[in-house]
Amino acid sequence: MNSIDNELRGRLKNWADQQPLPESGKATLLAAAASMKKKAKDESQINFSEQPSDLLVWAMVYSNEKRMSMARLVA
Amino acid sequence: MTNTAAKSNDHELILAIQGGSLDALGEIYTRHRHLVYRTALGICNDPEAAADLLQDVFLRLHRFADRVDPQRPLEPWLYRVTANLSYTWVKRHHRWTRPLEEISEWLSSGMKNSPQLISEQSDESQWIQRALAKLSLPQRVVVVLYYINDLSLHEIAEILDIPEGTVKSRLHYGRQALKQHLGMEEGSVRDIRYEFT
Repeated sequence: MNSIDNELRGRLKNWADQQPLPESGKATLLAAAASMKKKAKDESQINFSEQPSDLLVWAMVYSNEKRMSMARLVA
Repeated sequence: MTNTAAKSNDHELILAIQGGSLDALGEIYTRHRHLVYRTALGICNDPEAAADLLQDVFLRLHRFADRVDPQRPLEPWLYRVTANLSYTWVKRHHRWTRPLEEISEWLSSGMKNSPQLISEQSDESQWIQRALAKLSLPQRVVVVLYYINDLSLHEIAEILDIPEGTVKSRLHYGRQALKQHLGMEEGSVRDIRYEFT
C-alpha cells in the first residue's frame, strides 16, 4: 500500500470516527423490538371462533354470487 | 475481523436473541452499532438515514434471528444487511437528496478542483462527504468496506456476493476518483493539505 493509500484510509477513518452516533438509538430499538414481540404474540392468539361482521358476510355473499353469475354467463 | 472472545460472546448473545431476549439484543447493538452506523453513513451520506438504517438492521436481527447461524461470526451478516439496506435507500432517494450546490457544480463542471474551490471548502468532514457522494454507488460500497471498516478484498467479495476481481476493479476506480475529488493526485497533495493546517 503506498503513502497516498495510507493517507486516504487515515482521512476516511478519521471522518468516520468523528461522526456522532444517534443518542437514543438503543432505547428506540428496544422499544420497537418489544412492540414487535407483543404484536407477534397478539397475532398468534387470534380467536378464529369469532363471528365475522355483517359487512364481511355481505362481501363474501356478494362476491360468491357475482362469481356464480359470471360462470353461468360464460356457460 | 474479530477476536475469539468477541465471537464466543456474539454466539451466546445470538442464541439468547433467538430465545427472545431483548437484553441480548441491546448488548449486540451496543457492541456493533459503530460498525453499522458508519457503514450506512458512508454509503448513504445522510445521518438521519444512517440512524434509521441502524435501527432497521438490528430490528431485522431481532425479527429474523432464527435465520442467523450462531456458529458463524455475526459481523459479515451485519455488513451484508447494512450494505443491502443502504444500497436500496440510496437507489430510492438519490435524485431527491442530491444537494443543490452539487447540481450547480455539475452544470458548471469547468471549475473541477481549482485552488479557489478547495480553499472555500475548509471543512475536512464536508470534503470527505462530498468525495464519497461523488463515487458511483458500487464503488462507494467497496470503498467504505475497505478503507473505513478495514475489510480485505476477499471478505468484501463474500459479503457482497461478487467476484474478488470485481471488488478489486471497483476499489481501483473508486480510489482514483477519491484521490481526484480530495485533491490527492501526485504533486498536489502537500499544497492542498496546507490549506487545512
